[in-house]
Amino acid sequence: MSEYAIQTENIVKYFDGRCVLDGINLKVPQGGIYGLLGRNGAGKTTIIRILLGLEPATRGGAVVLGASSWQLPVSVLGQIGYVAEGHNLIPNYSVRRIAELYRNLSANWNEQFFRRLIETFRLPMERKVSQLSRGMRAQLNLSLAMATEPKLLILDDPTLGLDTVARRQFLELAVELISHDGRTILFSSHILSDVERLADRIGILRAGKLVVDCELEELKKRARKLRLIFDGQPPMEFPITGIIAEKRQGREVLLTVANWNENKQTFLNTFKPASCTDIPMTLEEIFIECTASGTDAAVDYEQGEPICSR
Amino acid sequence: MNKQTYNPIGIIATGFIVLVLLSLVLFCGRFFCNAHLALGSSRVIISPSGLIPDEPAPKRAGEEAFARYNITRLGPDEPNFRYSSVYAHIPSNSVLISAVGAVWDIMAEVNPYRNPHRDANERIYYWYADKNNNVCFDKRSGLIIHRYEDKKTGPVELFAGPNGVSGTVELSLGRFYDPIAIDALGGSCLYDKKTRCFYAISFYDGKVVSKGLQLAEGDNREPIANHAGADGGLFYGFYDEGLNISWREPVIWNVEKGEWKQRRWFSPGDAQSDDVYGLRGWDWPYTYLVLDKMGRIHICNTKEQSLTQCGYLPMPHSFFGSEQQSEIANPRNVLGYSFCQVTTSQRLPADTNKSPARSDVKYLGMYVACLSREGTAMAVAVFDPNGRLVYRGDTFGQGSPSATTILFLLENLQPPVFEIASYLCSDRIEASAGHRALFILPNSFVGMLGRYNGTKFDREVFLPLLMGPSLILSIWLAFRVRKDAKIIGLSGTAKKWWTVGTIAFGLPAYITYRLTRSKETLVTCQNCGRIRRPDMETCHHCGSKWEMPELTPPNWRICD
Amino acid sequence: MFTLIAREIEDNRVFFIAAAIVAAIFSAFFVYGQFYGETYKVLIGVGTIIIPIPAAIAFCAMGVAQIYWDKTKKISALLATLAVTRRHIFIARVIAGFLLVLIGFVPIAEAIIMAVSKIDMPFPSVRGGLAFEIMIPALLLGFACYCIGLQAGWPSNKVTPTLGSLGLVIILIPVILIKGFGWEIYAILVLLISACLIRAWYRFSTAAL
Repeated sequence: MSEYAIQTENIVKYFDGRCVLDGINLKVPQGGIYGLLGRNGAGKTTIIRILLGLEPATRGGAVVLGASSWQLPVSVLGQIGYVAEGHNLIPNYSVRRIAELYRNLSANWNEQFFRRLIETFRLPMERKVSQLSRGMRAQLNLSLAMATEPKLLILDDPTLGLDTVARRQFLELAVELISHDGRTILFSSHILSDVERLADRIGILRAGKLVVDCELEELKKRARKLRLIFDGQPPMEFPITGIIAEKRQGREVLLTVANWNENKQTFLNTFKPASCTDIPMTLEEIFIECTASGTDAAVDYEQGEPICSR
Repeated sequence: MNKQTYNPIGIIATGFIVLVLLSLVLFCGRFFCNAHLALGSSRVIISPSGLIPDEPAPKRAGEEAFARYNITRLGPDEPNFRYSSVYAHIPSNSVLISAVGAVWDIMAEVNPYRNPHRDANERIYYWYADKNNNVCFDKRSGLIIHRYEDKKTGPVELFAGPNGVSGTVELSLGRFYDPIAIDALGGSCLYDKKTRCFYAISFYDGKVVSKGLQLAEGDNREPIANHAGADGGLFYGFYDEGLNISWREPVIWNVEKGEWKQRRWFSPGDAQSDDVYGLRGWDWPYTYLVLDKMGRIHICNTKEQSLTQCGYLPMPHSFFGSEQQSEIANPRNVLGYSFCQVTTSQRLPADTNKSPARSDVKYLGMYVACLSREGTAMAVAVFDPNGRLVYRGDTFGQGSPSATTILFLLENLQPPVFEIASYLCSDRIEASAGHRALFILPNSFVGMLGRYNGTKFDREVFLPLLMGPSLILSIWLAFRVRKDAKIIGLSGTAKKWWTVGTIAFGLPAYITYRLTRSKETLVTCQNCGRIRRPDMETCHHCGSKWEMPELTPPNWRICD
Repeated sequence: MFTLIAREIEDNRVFFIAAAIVAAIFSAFFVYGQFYGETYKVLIGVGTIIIPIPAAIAFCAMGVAQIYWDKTKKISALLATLAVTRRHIFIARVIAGFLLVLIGFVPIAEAIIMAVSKIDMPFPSVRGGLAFEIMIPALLLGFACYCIGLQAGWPSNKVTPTLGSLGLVIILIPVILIKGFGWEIYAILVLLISACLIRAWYRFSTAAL
């Protein structure tokens, strides 16, 4: 059995001639929670749909639980739970009917767990899906996905529409789920506090690439925001690699750097700043720095290779 | 991994769907054009018929075709006298409708004259009015069974074998093996295909069976079954409603009654002539007309055991004229035919209410009408008692040129491969089946050329001309397909197959290509600047891989 | 598989109910109408010819509706994430469509054959005769029209599937008139059904859900 629940190989996706994913190599280890982040339109949902075989990749492929994603066998499909963005359930079905559909078509169905979830969320069984509020649809979707006792749970913005209490309940359920050995969760969300609370690993999409793919703690160590104050005019540029963002205001420079290490610290010291303060960043701040536009350095090539720390 | 892999089976399936639907549309167009053209060949009149001895000689065969209009010539000396005539016409374009599959099958089911019908008891019916009035061949006993209602005694059942007729089934009657009916009323005049022998069965007059000539093996005068038409005439034909042929006696104007008076066998009291003319068999059922599979018509006399040719099916004109065609039409190659004899006998005294004796009836000759397999041309021929052609009349569809042009163009939308097949196989497909053809068209212009018996040079010149529009269209479409295939980066083999396929199959292939080609939007190659497919690893123009990123990502990464 | 078929039937119950009702009405007419004399025979003939046309359109509409609503409501997108493959979904869909054709057609066909057998036809016939021979290609035509509907339901707007499917059915129906009721029509329709199913499967298996 592979150590990875999900492995993609250079996935490229075009929509009507527009490139959305430009070579995604994603590895989601077994038994963890992977938070996939990106701005609107970055391609998160596209990746998830490709992983589930709902969308064909233009180039490249993926392996999910040991099977090709485009031809997932029944045995693998039965181990995957999925909550779609927008909570796509059949609108004219009642809750009871859709639960019955899931029950009959799932490989493992935990009726007790499902009932517990339904009671927790207080969902009316006889009401049609189209008559549920957005939040209730989200809760139903979650309940259905979790009741199948999946080995791999894929959640695409699962807490969209949930109130604070429901979000907290979801988080607790997710933790409970993950406590079972070997279970994996891949989820994307715009509520980064939730991601920060749950995720072991983080992936951030930007410009069709996975610009961040590491453990959360590692990310916080390697992405640094520094406030540099100079006595005189600050240098025109800082020729160090991995500058994510740079802001200048008078003698002050705010520098966000990727893959921070001692060498870079030493190199910065050569510019003799009056002070150099490390500003701790939350995941949300890291995300904003990584995905904000207009702060990219030009792609710089040395010996034909892009300069990036891997 | 490319999900949109090339799928030949899917392409063939799509091609078949397109071919069927397009063929149906083209069929409807051709049908309407043919129907329009068929109306132009609707009638032939030959007058005088040439069969009445004292009438002036008609125009001889080989001269100009006679008038198409319903005007018969009056006698030169007697303005109130009208010559005898042979009149053939198609009342409507039901001829083509009758050939269409569903109508054909329904008519075959409900009309026993169309095809001998088999029931659950292995009986083949030659004639059927109701369950008490019919004639059938019982395969189990090998006997012909004739049922009829006698006014005095009620239902009667008679059994006939080669050795006689009886009211019960008897072994002494012998058995027939594989008989076909070759007379009008069905079942009285037979040919047994196994014993190769002709028979005549008289159920009423003496209840005898007369054995006629036995053909030698390989004799190509073997007859085909003829099927009776409607009451009132003995029409041997493929259909009875669609091709009407009739013989009109000479008539005289009755001044007292103010009407044209026709003379009939059963009309006592006429004082103008001692001769009457009719259509009844002169010694029926012992003497009757037989059509063989080569298209020749014979008089079969079972008493004399003779088979004498008395005429033939005249080959109607085709688009290529009649000079190069065979004079005699094969029954398989015509859509319909009808023939009948004309006889004469002495008029009986007015107070006699009897028919003339058979021996007094004299054979005057016969007439034949034949409809071309396309349904657009008709030929009528009159033969004298010695079997010589007396007169022939023809029509050829002179419907609107626009209908002909449209028909020609519609035929050229068929795949060239099918056109060539039509050219090669047209004479192997029966005439009526040609009207139900969707793919191979034996009745098309190209099919006509295939049956044309002209010189090889003529055929080689005409064939490219007839297929010209089709070939031009196919080549042009193949060019477009190849150009597009190059743009979207199909492999060399695929391009070759598509080009050859489009040349062979024309418009359907092109439509199939458009339906099955990759729908992936093309992007600009950053190496050569031409458009390339994003789902291919290399540019199919310059061979470059995807070196440069499509978007502009940052130059840093935070990865393990 | 049974769950998927039941789901298809329930989702398209309007078609099934309508088919059952129409079949029951016409079957009753053909069976009991024989007491109404000569007019009845004419109506039998007319019915045998006319009924297949709206029936064919209805079967095509079922195919169109299945594909169109599947795309609109993203039903297959939901099902494909459960323990079912696209093949299961497609087979269940086709089985439901074929069941509709059988439900709508077979009772009427049986009633017509029975009614025709009771009429004093002008000619004795084998195996129920012409009525039986008409019903088989008509049944195949029903399947073919359904399969044509599976092709026509893909466009996103409502007009193209509606008009397109209607046009294709109108083009297809004359094939029985042209070819009659023999082996040729069987061959053409069976091949057409197979081709349509192959193409429909190919599109469904490669499309984004």
